[in-house]
This record gives sequence, C-alpha cells and structure tokens, in this order.
Amino acid sequence: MSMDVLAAGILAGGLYALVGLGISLVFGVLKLMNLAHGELVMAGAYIASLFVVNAGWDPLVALPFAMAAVAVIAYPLQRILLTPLLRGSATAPLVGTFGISLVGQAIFQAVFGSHPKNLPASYATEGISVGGMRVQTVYVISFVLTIVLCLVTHFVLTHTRAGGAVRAAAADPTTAAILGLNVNRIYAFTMAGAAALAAAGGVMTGVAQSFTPTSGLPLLLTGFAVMALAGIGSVGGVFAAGVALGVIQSLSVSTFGGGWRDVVVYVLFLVVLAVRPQGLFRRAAPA
Amino acid sequence: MTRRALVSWLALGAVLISAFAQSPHMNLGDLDLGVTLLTYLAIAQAWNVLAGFSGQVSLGSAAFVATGGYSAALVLAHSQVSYVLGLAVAAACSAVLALILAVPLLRLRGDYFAVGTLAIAIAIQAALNNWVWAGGAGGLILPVDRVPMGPDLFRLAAVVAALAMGLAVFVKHSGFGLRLTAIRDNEQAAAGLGVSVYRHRLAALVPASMIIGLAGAVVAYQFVAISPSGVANLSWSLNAVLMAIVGGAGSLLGPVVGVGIVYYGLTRQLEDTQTLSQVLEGTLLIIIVRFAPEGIWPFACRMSRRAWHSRPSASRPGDRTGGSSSNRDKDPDQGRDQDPDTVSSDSVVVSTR
Amino acid sequence: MSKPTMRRWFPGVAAIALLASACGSGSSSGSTSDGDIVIGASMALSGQINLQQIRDGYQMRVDEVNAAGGIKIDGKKRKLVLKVLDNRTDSNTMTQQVRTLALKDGAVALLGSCCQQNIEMQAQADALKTPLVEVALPVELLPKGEGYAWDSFQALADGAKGFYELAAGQQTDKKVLIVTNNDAPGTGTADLWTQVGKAAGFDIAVTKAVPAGTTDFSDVVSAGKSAGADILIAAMVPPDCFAMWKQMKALQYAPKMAIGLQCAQTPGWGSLGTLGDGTLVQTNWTTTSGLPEADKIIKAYGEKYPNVNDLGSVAAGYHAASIIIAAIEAAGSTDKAAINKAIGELDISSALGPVKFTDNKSTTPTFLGQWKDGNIEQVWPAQGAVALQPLSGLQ
Repeated sequence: MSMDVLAAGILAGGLYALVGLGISLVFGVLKLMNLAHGELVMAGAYIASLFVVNAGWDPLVALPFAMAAVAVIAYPLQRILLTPLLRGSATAPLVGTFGISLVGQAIFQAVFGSHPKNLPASYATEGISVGGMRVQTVYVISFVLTIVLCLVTHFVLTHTRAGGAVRAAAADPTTAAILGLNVNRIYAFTMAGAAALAAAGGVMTGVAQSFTPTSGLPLLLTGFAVMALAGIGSVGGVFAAGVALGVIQSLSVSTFGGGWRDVVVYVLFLVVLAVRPQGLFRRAAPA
Repeated sequence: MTRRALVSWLALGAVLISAFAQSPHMNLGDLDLGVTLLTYLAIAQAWNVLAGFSGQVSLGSAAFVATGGYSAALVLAHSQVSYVLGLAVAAACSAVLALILAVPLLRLRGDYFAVGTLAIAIAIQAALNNWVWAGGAGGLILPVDRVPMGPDLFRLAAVVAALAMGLAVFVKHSGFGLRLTAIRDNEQAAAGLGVSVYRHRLAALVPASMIIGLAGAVVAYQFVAISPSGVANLSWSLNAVLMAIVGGAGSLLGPVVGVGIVYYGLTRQLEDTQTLSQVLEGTLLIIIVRFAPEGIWPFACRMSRRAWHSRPSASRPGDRTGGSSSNRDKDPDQGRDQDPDTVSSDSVVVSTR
Repeated sequence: MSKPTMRRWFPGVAAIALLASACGSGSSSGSTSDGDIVIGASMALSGQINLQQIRDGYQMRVDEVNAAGGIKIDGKKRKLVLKVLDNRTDSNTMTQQVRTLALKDGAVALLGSCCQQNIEMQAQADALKTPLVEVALPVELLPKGEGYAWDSFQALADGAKGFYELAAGQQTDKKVLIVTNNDAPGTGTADLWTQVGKAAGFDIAVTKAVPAGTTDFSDVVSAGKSAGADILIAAMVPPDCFAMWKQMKALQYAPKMAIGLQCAQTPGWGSLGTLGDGTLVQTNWTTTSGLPEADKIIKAYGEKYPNVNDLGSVAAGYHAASIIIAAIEAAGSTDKAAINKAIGELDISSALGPVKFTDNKSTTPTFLGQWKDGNIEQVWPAQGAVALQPLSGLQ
C-alpha cells in the first residue's frame, strides 16, 4: 500500500473525528444518542451553499456563519423538544431524534432538491507534495481545522467556567441542579456547540466531495463508530479514534478491495462494543 | 390461565380463522395489501416483544428480515423443496444468527444495544453486497412458479402474523413475561430477586428474531426477489420502530394500530407526495414521543376510559370524587394492561443516567 | 359481563370490529372493462435519483394520445390514464407500488424507472404477468426472465465500440483504468467494456469496484498513476465521480481521455466548471442526432431542460410510452397477455430510434458527447459531430 493512500486515510480521519466529536459531546453530557446528527452536518453544508453558491463567498469564509446558523437552530431544538424527552423513557430521545432526522431530510429535499451539490473552491482540486507523498489540499485544511476545533473544545471544557458547568452537569445532573446550575440551559448550549462542530464537518465535506439530502446517515454511523472506539470524556481520544478509523478504512480498501470498506468499519465497531464497552467508557454500561 | 389470557387467545384464533375464511373471496389487490400489512405487523409485534416488553430497543430488525429472506430464497432457488420448508429454514437460520449475535449483543444495554444492532444490520447489508453466490448487489430472483401467490401467500402471512401476536400474548400473560418486564423496569432489583437476566433476555431475543426471519421469508416470496437493497434494507428496522412506537410499544394491540396508521394511513394515502409524507412521519414520531409517549392506542384507550368515567349514567355513588376514578373502579392490574409503561419512566430515577 | 370488564374490553373489541370491517369491505379496484386504460409507473422521483424528465416524457406521449381522443379498442375510443408513483429511490417501496399498480389499480402495462430499479422490477413483471417496458437500462443488463420485461435502450457494447474507436484516433499509451460501482450495472459495465477494449487492442491495466458513496479514491488514483493509464472509464453514481475527479486533479493524475458513464450525465456536472470539461458521456440522444420527434421534444421541453441529457431522458420516456401505446393499439384489447405478445411483434420507430425486439431487447442508437462550457456536444458518430477536444479539465 502506497504512502499516498496511508496519508489520505489519515487526513480523511480528521473529518471523521470532527463528526465524531459532536456526537461524543452530546452523548457524554446529555446521555443522548442523537440520530439527527447527520442532518446537522448536512444543514451546515446546505446553509454554507447559500453563501458560497449564491453570494460567491469562499467556503472557509462562510464556515463560521454556517456554524453559527446551525447552532442557533439546534439550541431551541434541544431546549424545547429534546430536553423534555430526556426525562421520559429510554426510547423517547432515540425515536424523537430519528423523527427530527426524517423531517430534516424532507426539508432539504423540498428546499434544495435532490441533485448532488458541492461547494466550489480553488483548493478543492489542488494537491500538495509532502515528502514524496501527494495529498489533497482540502483534506489538509480540514485536518488542521479539526485540530483547531478539538483544541478549542478541550480548552473550553477544561479551562473555563462554562466548561466546568458542562462537566458538572455531565457527571451528575441532579446534584448540579441542586447546586444552582441551570442544567437545561447547559444541555442546550452543549447541543448548540455540537451542532456547530457538525456544521464545520458539513462544510468541509461539501468542499471535498458532494452532498445530497440523504448523505447524513453514513456520516452518522461513522461518527458513532468513532465514538465507540474513543469513549467518552476525552477530546484527544476522539481525535485519535477518527484518525485510526480513517487509516483502517484505507488499509482494508487496499487489502480487500473497495466493497469491504464499510463492513470492516462496522465489524470493528461491534467488536469494540462487545469486548470493551466498559473499559473504553468512563461510566458502566447499564444506561 | 386467567380469563383475560383466555379471551386474548380466543380472539386471536377467531381473527386467524376469519382471515382464512375470507381469503378466497378477496380480490388480488386487497390480498396483496393484506400480505404487506401482516408482514409489517409481524415485524412490529416481534420488535414490540423485544423492546416494549423486554426493554431491548433494537434497530437491527433488518438483519433478520434479510436472513429470513435470503435463506428461504436460496433454499428455493437451489433445491426443489416446497415454500413451507423454505419458511422453516428461514426460522432456523434466524435463530442461529440470534444465538451467535447474542454473544456480543447481550453484553450491551440501552442505547449501546440499539446502536450495536444498527451496526449489525448495516454490516450484514454490506456483506450481502459482496456475496457473489447469492447474487451480490443485484440479488436473486426466486423461481416464479414455486412461490406462493394470491390467497396462499395471504394465508402464509396470516399465520406468521398470528405467531407474532401469539408470542406477544404469551409474553403478556405468562410468568415469563412478568419476569421480562421486571427486568425491563429495574434490572438490578429483578436480578436481586433471583431472575436470570441473561437467560430471559436471550429467551426473548431468539423467538422474536425467528418471527422476524419468518416475516422476511414472506417478504421474499411477495417480492419474488431478494437483494441487499430490498430485504436487507435498513427501512425494515426503521419501520418496525416507527410502527410499534406510534401504535404503542408495550401493549398488545399497539403495533396493530401502528401498522394501520403508518402504512395504510401515511404511506399509502400520501404516495403522491413523498416529501410531505416524510415530513408527516417525522412530525408524527416527534409529537407522539413528546405528548403521548405510550403510543396512540394506549393513549386512545386512556382517553376513552376517561370519557366513559365522566358519563353521568356510568357513575356509582361516591364515584364522582375529584373527577378521577376512585379506588373501587381501579382495575387491579390496570397499570400493566391498558396503561402500559412503554419502556419504564422510572428509568430516570433508578438508572445511572 | 360486569361493568368494569365491559369497560376494559370495549376499546379492544371495537378495534377488532373496525379492522374486520375494513378488511371485509375491500375497496373495488381500478379500471372497469369499459373505462380508462391505466398505465402504471413506480419511479424514483425523490431521494437519491430524480427521474422527472423521464416522467415528463411518459406524460407527453400520453397527453398526445388523449388529445386525439384516446386509443381505439373494439370500435370505442378509450382514454389513457398514466399513474406515476414516487418510490423515493427505495427498492421495497418500488416493489410494493408496482404490485399495487398492477393488482389494485388495474394497470394493463407498466413503465420502468432507471438503472438498478429496472433490474429489480423485472421480477415483479414476470410474477404479476404484466408487460413492462423499460428504458434507462442498457440492454445487456436486462436479466433473463419469463418474457414480460422489455428493454429498448442503447447497448453498452455500442458505446464501448465508439469510445475505443475515438481513442484509437488519439495519442495514448492504450492503457485503461476502469472504475465502477460494485452493484450489478457496475460489474456488468466493467466486464463488457473490458471485453470490447481487449478486442480493440487496448490494455485494461486496472479494474476497480467501489461501493456507491465512496468518497476516498486515493486507492484507485494511486493504481491509475502507477500503471500510467492514459484512458479512464468511470461508471458510478454522480457523487462518486465528483469526488474522484477532484481527487484526480489534486493528486495529479491526468489521463488523456475520460468517460463518465452515468455519473457525468447529471446536469450538476457543469457546476464542476472547467474541471469537468472534456469528459465524455454516452447518451441516447443529442440535438443533432436526426432522430424522429426530436424537434417536437426540443420545442416542448427545450426551455425547461436546457441540458442535452435531460432532453434525452424526456425522449426516452416518450419512446417507452409510445411502445406500450403502439402495442395496445396493435393488440386491440386490454388483455395483458395480448399486449405482451403485441410488444414482441412491433416494428416501429420512435423518439430513440427503431424498435424491433429480439429476445425482449431492442437496441437504440448510441451517441458519445463531450462536456464543454457547461454543454454537451456530440463527438461520435461522425454524422452531426464536432471534433473531439483534449481532456482539458484534468490537465
């Protein structure tokens, strides 16, 4: 297997890590498996396309706006719809987010149509030669973006008061509420943050590849796979897991051929879940 | 057997017999609609047993539909056996798959279990895409002359649906079922009282999976073809969840209502406007899960009982205290019957969520 | 029964009674023997594919016939009803809809969808004994069935022949990289183009099959670069080709000739800008083709669909509907078996070319077009063609 393929795998893993970070954040703090996360990623891509295609902006310039827009959509979604579901039965949030994903896909389809779209940018088709390997510029950019966002997230979580509040609510929401923290607001902010991360992933996906209203599901599953590999509680773990997943995919494609690309990921996912569900995760498995 | 259990069994038998009796007189279009509704019912009800009664929310029904469909189809295509034997093979293969998957799956609970089953369903679909002997991505066409059609297929579907309903009735009215719901509501307490959690979960997983496999075989017969994008499609998993939850997970008739509303009401009637139908499906799910989490059927029962209670002629002396039913009216096991806790609302207090 | 018991059972009994009555009433199905003739189609109009152009083609022909009063059967003119259902590009929905159309709505014939769905629809056509006319499926890919599925479309072999003919006239090292999706149309395409290529003296250096939805083609591009393949043949869904072309440019893999079967035929290819220029496509129709009804179609839909591919899809739909209508007229009845037999005996000419079935297949002419400035121009066969441009986009 050539170094080019390995490098491409590592860089693609950066994008996976970005998607997985959002999912991991939501699950870690809210104990919610957000089945609509893929649609949040797509929302970022579609909103960015409004700036890029219609107004001619560069995708990287449109990126912060797309992130903000999706966060603004996610905040009331969590506050009004999802937080009450968390108090209900165990299936309610899962099914509720699934419903949201259906509605999201339908909205994208109705507003933007089902043809594949992409975000044109000059660096989408450029490549860089690094030490004998040729890599795609856009993936290098997204890799750097992922590192930046991971560092920012880690910093916010560990060195700010808001981050401390989030970690408190994650560890024990009841006690946190007694101590005066507004847990509902914390949940909503966390969801908004995760949505912003998802949107960033969406914009980079739009530049590097293309997207349709139904492109969210494969990304969702990749995100879950990253989360399962990484565990909860460590941003660095998510990053490493994303990169590892990208490398494993590249390896399996060049060894077994393209058709097995997804099977390997899911089998690995299952093996990890089965063998070390407790070991990788901070909390015990009974949810 | 309690009187209520007896009535349930008798009702089930009566419906099955009437279905058989009706079948020669129904036209082809209705027979086909019936087969579709019955297979969805079987899958939704089996899912209900797993998730509603035993608390194991599974997103992997598609894996068993695929297993049942592929095994029945392959047996029929490569040998001369009858389609009934094909069904038996489907059930056997599904049982074996369930036993194998139980090893990793039964170590997981709650959301992890759900995502694990989802990963299995997708992995199986991806693997089938690569399985050249079974037709790979293009799939296989079944021998058209040996596949049941029309009234035969309808009766087959009725039997499979009856099996699913039978399993649900059994789980609801038996000691085994009681222990299952105990595990669902509070696993540690149940274990403390001596209930073997692993064995009970397994005993729920295997029959439910077999029934889903049988339904998959019926689907394969109806479609006369198997393919990864057909019987192994994720939509089987999602429809099972949708129909059972909309109708009422944890109740007997909930999935029946759910199938009727979602397939007949939404999918069929809104065939011309797919986008609208998808919006409605999603919105319906959200509304139900938010405002009527027990499902439409238990919700309707509760509302109708409330309406009955507030009728002046129905009240007895001392009845009208505060508008709600007094203790004398309360049925002793009302909590389990008409007002099922889907997956328990106690989980927030008890579990380490 | 005591009151509490009655109260408890009431909802349950009511429900069962309702269900039983609903089953028992059983709505009477579609067409009467004297009324409108129903033609059914379950198509992918939302989800991953959108075939609205083909649907417009179907509707155009049906409207034409109805404007003239309908089809004459047994001395009486009967109108046509085209019932099109959207199956969201979902196989199961398609099968259920096809069965409903045939069994409940009384469709006497079916019209096809596209690609993989057409392959799966064939089984239903045989099982329901209802004639099905398909376009948008290369004739070599039609599975062998019981004779109820008919395909009148171009042949992969013709496109391959034309492509290699063009390639022989260019300066290349005759090495070929073939990449397809790993589904049935994909592997069938790969096999066929390999065969024809070898016969034409080309070296098929690398063949790769990737699942639809692949975004990382570094493996494929690497293989192409190390084999030094000057010729690229890609047969994938459009999003895959978008990703691959971008990656090829970035990783500096620059073949001299490239054709994007299926994937470069989407109008969205123009949004790639100069990157997509020079890519070839195999189409069933061009504006300069000289095919019958071309002017009519351009006049009716030229404004709505400026892209040649979309107009070609309208033509394909028109073509398929014409076949069924001609067969019903020839059979003189709405009996499905008679219509099926009539299709087999047809000898007509329609929007995609001549129609005469052998073994349920009727091949229509193939054209090769090339993308230039957001438009597709015909480059093969020579009549009506412009010169082949170099593959500028990827250089």
